[in-house]
Amino acid sequence: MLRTVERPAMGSRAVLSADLDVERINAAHELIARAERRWSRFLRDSVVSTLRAATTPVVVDEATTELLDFAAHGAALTDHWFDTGLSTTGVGPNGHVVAGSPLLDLGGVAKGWTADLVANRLVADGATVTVVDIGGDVRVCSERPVLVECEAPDQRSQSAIFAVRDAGIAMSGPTRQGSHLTDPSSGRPAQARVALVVARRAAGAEVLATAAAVAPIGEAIAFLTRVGAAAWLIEPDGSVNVTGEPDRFLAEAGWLAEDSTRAWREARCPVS
Amino acid sequence: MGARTRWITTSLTAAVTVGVVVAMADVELTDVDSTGEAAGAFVAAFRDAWIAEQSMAAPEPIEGSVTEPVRTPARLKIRVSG
Repeated sequence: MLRTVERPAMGSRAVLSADLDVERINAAHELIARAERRWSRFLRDSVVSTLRAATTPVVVDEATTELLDFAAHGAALTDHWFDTGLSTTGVGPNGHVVAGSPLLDLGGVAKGWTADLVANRLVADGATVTVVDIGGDVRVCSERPVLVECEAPDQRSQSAIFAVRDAGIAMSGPTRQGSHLTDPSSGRPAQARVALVVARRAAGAEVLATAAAVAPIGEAIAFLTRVGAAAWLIEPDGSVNVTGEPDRFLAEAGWLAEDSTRAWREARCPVS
Repeated sequence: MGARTRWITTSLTAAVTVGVVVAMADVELTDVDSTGEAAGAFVAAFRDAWIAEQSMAAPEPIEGSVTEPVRTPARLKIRVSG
C-alpha cells in the first residue's frame, strides 16, 4: 500500500510516497530537514551561510563536499550555464576546503540532490515503489511503472502524465508570476524559456533544466544532447525543441501536446 | 562526439581543474597539499564527473504498454520552478 506524507521543506513542500510504514517515511523526511539545515542560504547557521560569509577558506563536511563536487561538474557539463556561485575548492588533511563564496546558492540542485538521497534511503528501507517530490523536483524509483503528473506552467491547462520506473524529472523557467532566473553570463535576469528534463537522477535533471532555461537555444541543445538527456525546450512564443525523444516517457501529453502548448503560450502572452 | 571522446574530455577537464585547485590551495593554505592528496582528489573528481554525466542521461523508457501502473497522489507533481 502506497503511503504519502507531506511536509513543508526547503522553502517549498516535500511529498514522499512509498510502500512503507509512516514511521519510515517520516524518518526520510528528517533527512530532508537535515539537508535544509545544512544547505539553506536562509538559515544563518547553515554550511551555505557560513561559506557565503567566509572571507577565508573553510573545511566542509563530506555530504556537502559531494554536493559541491556534483554542482561543479554540473557547471562544467552545461558549459557553465548552470552556476551556483561556488568559488575555488581543494582538498586538505581535514577534508574538503572551499573558498568563501559570497554568491553561493545551492537552492535548486540541493532539492534534486536531496530527492535522490531520500529515494535511495526509502529503497534501502525496503520500498518497492518510491516517489519523492521536493518543490517540484521529482525522483521515481520503482519496480512497477509509476504515473506522475506534470503541471502546466500556466497551472490551468491539462497536466501531462509521465510513465517512468527509475527517473528524475525537473522543470525550470518562468512561472505566471514571471522569471526569477539569472543569466550567469551577465548576472542579470534571464529571458528564460521552459525547460523540462527527464534524466536518471533528480539532481541531474535539475541542473540541466536550470541551465537549459537560460542558455542560448543552440548551446542548450548542444549540452543536453552531449549528456544524452531527454528534454522539451519551450520558448515564450510557443515554439518547441526537443532532445533525446522525450515523448517515450509520456503516458498522456496534456499541455505538452501542440494545442495545449499554444494555449499555455496565449495564456502567458495574450495577443495585444 | 562519441561517448569515449566525451569520457576522455571530461577526465582531462577534471585533471586540469584539480591541478588548478591544488595550485591555488598551495598559495592560500599552507596545510592542504601533498602529492598523495592531489592524486586522491584527481581520482575523486574523475569519478564524480562520470557520475554527474551519468545522472543527466535519459533513463530507460518502459517498453511496451504500461500495465498496472502506480498512480501517485494528485498533490505530488512536477512543477515549474522559477
